[in-house]
Amino acid sequence: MRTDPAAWLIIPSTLLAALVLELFPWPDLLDPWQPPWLLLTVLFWAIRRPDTVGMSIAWIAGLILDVALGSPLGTHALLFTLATTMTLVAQRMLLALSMIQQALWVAFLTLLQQAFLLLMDGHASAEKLMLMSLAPALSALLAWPVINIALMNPQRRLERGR
Amino acid sequence: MANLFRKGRGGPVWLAVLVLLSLGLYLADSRLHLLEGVRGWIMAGLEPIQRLATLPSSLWRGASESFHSREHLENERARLGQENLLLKTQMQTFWSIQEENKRLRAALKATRPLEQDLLLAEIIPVQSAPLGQTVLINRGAHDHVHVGQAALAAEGVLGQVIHVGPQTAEVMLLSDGSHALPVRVARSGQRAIARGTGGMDRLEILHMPNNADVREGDLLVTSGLGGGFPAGYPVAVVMGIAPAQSGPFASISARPLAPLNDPREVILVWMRDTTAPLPAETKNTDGAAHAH
Repeated sequence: MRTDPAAWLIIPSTLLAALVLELFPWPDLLDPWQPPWLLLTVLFWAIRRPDTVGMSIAWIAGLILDVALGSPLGTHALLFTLATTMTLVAQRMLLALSMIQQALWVAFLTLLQQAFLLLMDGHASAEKLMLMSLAPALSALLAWPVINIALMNPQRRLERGR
Repeated sequence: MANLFRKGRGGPVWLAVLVLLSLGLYLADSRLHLLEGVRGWIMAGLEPIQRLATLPSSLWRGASESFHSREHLENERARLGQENLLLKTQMQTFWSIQEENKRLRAALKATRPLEQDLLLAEIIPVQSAPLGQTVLINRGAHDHVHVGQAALAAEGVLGQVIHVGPQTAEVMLLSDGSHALPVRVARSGQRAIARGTGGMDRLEILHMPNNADVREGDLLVTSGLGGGFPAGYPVAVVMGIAPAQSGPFASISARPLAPLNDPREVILVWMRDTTAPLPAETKNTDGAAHAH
């Protein structure tokens, strides 16, 4: 099965849109509640198109996010790669699950990623750590259906193109 | 291209390669500081994306500004005019004091103070890393911004430049947990280090002995030690002093003067020796400083 050229247009443009969303400034109060749009989009494609979006794309997306957010290079790259690998391993099962169950999975990965980022930073107090890793996980839970609906059309177009 | 990615799928070897690559990047970037150039390129590519992300908020701001009433603008103008007049009056004494200072230094054969160049930058309100307190500004290597450069607000020191792209740069705020700045007490000259705590309204003052001459309400200014930072800019006001029960250093906290919560403008400072060439020729960490 060859990757059709349409995938190389549609998938990067959805990733780009996710990056714009990710950088969109939120009010300070809601700041911890911003869903990890880019990670969710990468994971969406990893579940739906594992032959196209795998670890390498995840790594590149993570690296770009590192620069955009000003975090040490390699941190998001590493975490995106690991989250995508875990998703690819469970890909067949995930594809069969309902959207809610998938949402729980991506929320779990978001929680892990966030906790790791905060621990690495090393300056967070315990309660701040809790809030700041739980909040994005919960919002990932809510954002997953949004991502699914938003990407349904591009994904259908890809399926038809096959 | 596609082939490479497909081969990578699920391969434990490829996973190991990517993990090692990430760790290598991490070490090279945050420990050895080798990758400013790479970061600069990617920052250049990200610029349009960042513009796009801030478009809604800048449109909103533009729209709300254009709906300001004429009266509001008149009041604003009058207030600024008065403020300008007051500042100019204060500057009159400043110039004479500066001249006097120069003469006295010359008489004492002290080292010559460094001249300073200033540039105003605007903040691009995009997201930054979860706990890290950084802001993105609209000046970069093209304006000769360099890593480690001092960034000020009108009220006091804001932070310093940590990454530079061609048109953008990232400024770490004073309050970031990994930011430390050499300061001295303006009144007594006692030296210390002001470190961020991660909280926007509190700095820790390190290495201040229990018996140091410092009181609540004292002004802390940059000491200029360690280079890079100009001396004498206000940083924070001492809030609380608790003599340590054990150990030689008191635990002191201070409140930053610059509005770290909501910085609007950033002023970048270049220091140059009066005999040294203009900043256009000064050393630049990013090789891309040949515009203008």
